Amino acid sequence: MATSRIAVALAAAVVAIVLVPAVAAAQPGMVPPDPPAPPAERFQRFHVGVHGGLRITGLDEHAAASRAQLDAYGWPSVTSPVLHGYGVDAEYLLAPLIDVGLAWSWARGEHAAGTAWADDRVRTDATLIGAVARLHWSRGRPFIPEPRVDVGLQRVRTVVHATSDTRTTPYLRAGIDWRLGTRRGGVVLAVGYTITGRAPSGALDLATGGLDLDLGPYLRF
Amino acid sequence: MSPGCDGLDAANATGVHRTCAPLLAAVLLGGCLEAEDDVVQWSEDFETCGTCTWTIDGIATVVTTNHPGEHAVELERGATLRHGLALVRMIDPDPDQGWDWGGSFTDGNWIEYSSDCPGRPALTLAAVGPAAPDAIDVTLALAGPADGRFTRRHLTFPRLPIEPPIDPEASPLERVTFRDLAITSDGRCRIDNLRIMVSGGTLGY
Repeated sequence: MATSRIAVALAAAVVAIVLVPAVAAAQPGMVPPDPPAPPAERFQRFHVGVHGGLRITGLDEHAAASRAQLDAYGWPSVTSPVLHGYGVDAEYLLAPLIDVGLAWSWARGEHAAGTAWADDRVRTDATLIGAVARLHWSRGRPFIPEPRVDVGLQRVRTVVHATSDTRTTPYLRAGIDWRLGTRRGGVVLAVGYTITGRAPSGALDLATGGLDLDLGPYLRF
Repeated sequence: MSPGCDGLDAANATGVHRTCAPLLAAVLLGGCLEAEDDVVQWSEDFETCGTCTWTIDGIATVVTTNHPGEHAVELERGATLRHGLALVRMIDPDPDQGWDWGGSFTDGNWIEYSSDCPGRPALTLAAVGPAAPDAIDVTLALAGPADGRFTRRHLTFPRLPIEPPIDPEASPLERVTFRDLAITSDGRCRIDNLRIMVSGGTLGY
């Protein structure tokens, strides 16, 4: 008899523990609030930047041949210049990890000088326009180096004795964009190496590639 | 040692000295070297008015070369270009060898140009004669055929074509004058950026 009472008491306890909360939960006004859902992550998909930069043409693979050509033609003062200029680029975060876009830049430098006072110079203006692909591998974090590749066309305007000539060649640039700022804006320090196509045989073929150093602000939105 | 290398502890001294030593050597070496002092006495790049100041015998035309703004003169076989000069050279009587350029111009006295004719050129001097005992005519003979590639050529002037004086001490001749430059070619050759140079003496030997 005592044993059956104990069994009944245990069964009652189990019912109280298991079923009572379920019944209570089913009652309106007594439901505990759900934890707030985490906010959806918002990416800045557009990147726009401007920069000023230098290109060290002395590190172009063609630099020695370029100087030799000018020396052979008799220019008394020949150098591989540091081109200086500026540029702009705009990209869109297309895939989870890749920015794609366009880049434009312009740079100028003087390769040789003669003995006359006026117009006895060899100067190049190099304008580059190309497609950009950048590894956007750590979204939202600041101070991130992002590998980048540019492929496009270079239009070189060469001025000799105040007479200009232009030609278009392909170029390839590979480097790193070091984003120093927040996810929305800051400064990009870019280092890259540019390889350019060559001029036809017999034409003046000056080195306009080399090591690039660029610095400028960016915005992401 | 430069100031930046002073005050270092012994542990760092060796490495820093290794770094500073090449910099110090470069500074000292730069201070020892003298600047180049070559002087351009006469030049022609055919850019201002082509061959308007030249006399042409035969066929010689102004052509563009490796750029639309770069011009040269193309001489056909047998053509001659002539240009007047007025370049004075001081000379010294050498008791052993007769008249010569003197110590200052032994090697620092040359003509240079760019051409696409790779043959061996000749630079000769000729005395004008008794009518002008101090006048010298210069002739540069290009040797073709052209290979299309411009190279820079440097030719030192040869010995003076003047008979040694019997008594150098009594001779009044102390200078000669380049009176005329003639360029000839035995093939179709292009020539540009012609210069007559003289060393300022520092680098002459």
